[in-house]
Amino acid sequence: MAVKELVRKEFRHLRWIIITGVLVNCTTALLIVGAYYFLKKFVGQIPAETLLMLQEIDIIHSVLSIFSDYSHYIWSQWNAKNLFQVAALLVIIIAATQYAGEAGKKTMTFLLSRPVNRRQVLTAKCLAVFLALLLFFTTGTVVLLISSRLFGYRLLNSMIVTAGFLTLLWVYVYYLVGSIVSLFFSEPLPAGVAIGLTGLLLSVPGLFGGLRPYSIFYQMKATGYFLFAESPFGSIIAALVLTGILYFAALRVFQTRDY
Amino acid sequence: MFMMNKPCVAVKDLEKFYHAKPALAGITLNIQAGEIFGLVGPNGAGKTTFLKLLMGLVHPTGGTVKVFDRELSEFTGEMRREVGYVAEEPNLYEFMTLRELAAFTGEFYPGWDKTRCRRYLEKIKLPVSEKIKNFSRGMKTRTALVLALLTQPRLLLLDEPLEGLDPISRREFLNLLLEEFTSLKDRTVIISSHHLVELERICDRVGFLKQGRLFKVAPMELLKGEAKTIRVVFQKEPPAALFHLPGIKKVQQESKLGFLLTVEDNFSEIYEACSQTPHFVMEVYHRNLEELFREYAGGGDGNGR
Repeated sequence: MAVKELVRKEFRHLRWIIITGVLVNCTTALLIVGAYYFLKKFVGQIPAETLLMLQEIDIIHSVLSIFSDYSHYIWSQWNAKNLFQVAALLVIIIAATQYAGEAGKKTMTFLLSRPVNRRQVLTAKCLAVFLALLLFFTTGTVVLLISSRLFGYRLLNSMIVTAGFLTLLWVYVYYLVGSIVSLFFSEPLPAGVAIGLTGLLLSVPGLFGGLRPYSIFYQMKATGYFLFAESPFGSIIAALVLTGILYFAALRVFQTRDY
Repeated sequence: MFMMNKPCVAVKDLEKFYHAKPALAGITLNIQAGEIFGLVGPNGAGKTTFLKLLMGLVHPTGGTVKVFDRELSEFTGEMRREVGYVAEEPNLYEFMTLRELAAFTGEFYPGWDKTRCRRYLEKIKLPVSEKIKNFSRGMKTRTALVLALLTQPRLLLLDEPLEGLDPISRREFLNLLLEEFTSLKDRTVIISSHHLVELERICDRVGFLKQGRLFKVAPMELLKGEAKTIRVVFQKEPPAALFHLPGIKKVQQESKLGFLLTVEDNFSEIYEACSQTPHFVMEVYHRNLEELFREYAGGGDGNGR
């Protein structure tokens, strides 16, 4: 009962952030499909001999090759670029607002003087964000799939949905990391900066070839699954285990913090 | 109002350090059920920390805290229903209207009475459809108090609740507290405030905190009784021996023949001696809490200045 009320309160508290995130995500999905349509049309108008000449230039060759595979184009622009970036930005704002923001505005004092324990408060916050992210991913993916169909493109739906699910799980892992960071702050702005910097730190393995899979952003992009045909289960299990560990770590920090 | 029962709050050797700096040091105190206990002290004395410790918002560094005979660490969310808290800055959810905030609060209390809630909200004359962000500090304080009263806790912790209220609102606040809460059986209030006149009006006992230490706890009546002031205007120069009677702590000359005698002990003999010396006017005052606070705290005006 308490958790349900608290989840509802979180949704009300974060509603504008969630609505903005969902709108940005849906618009991005639509623009990605639209951009493919217009760019393909534009490329189609280039004379064949000019196109052959242009393809000799490396960068143009790789850009043009994207247009040969619609699913690959969608993954590169959706999962590997916009989706995880918008989602990461969203969870930075949410985590900073939920803990440091409530501590700074002292509404956490009000909340914790209700007959709820800290575990319930944390669980409700985490649950609300998971549901918000689910809404964010579902609406974006639905817009992507419908608009692709409307434009007449054939998309590997199951692969895009699975890649999206991996993105969702790893963005959630990042949210939990952000929550722990945010719990040490009493103002949302420095907390947000610290969460962003922590994200950068977690992306460092991505700079080194062999360590790339250990970068949180590599996992968010679902690169291994989509590009190298790796099984998604390893990534899913790793995300779930980390989710459990980070949840309990956040709970530990939350329970010992003074308000 | 004040009855000796088993302690509602039992604190022993309580310590709280913030970065090795003591906020509370060696506090030992029992507060009985049904008591209204006032906490007095300058800013930074540890009043807020003490109340937050009782609410479980702050964790003690050392010592034990028992509320309703249970260690605070054993307190579950359910048990917190028995404790109400109004923070120094009642920061409520600003995106909610008063009606929504009351409904949100009510969801956590199975015995929440919607009719009484409506009656209370009408009584404090606050706009229920208005967003909290448009409320003044005084309105927020009244809202926080009403929400706390509506939960009917056995222990109510009030941290500087009178701050930011005008004199009329202060009176209304205290009346609401006395009429609706302390009239119920075994309801305990711990209130900290700089408004000592109001504390004097409602408290059964007062504790003086300074630099994290509780250096005096006494029943209000005893405090008032142990220190009195006699203002007297004599008809002629009084005998010098009068001012040297045992029990006179301080003599202030207000005019040529007007004197203010601070009496700590031996009141009846001093009173008798003054009244037998020819005089125009003679008045006896109980020294108020503010004067006592200044004396115990070693100066300052009660605001830490």
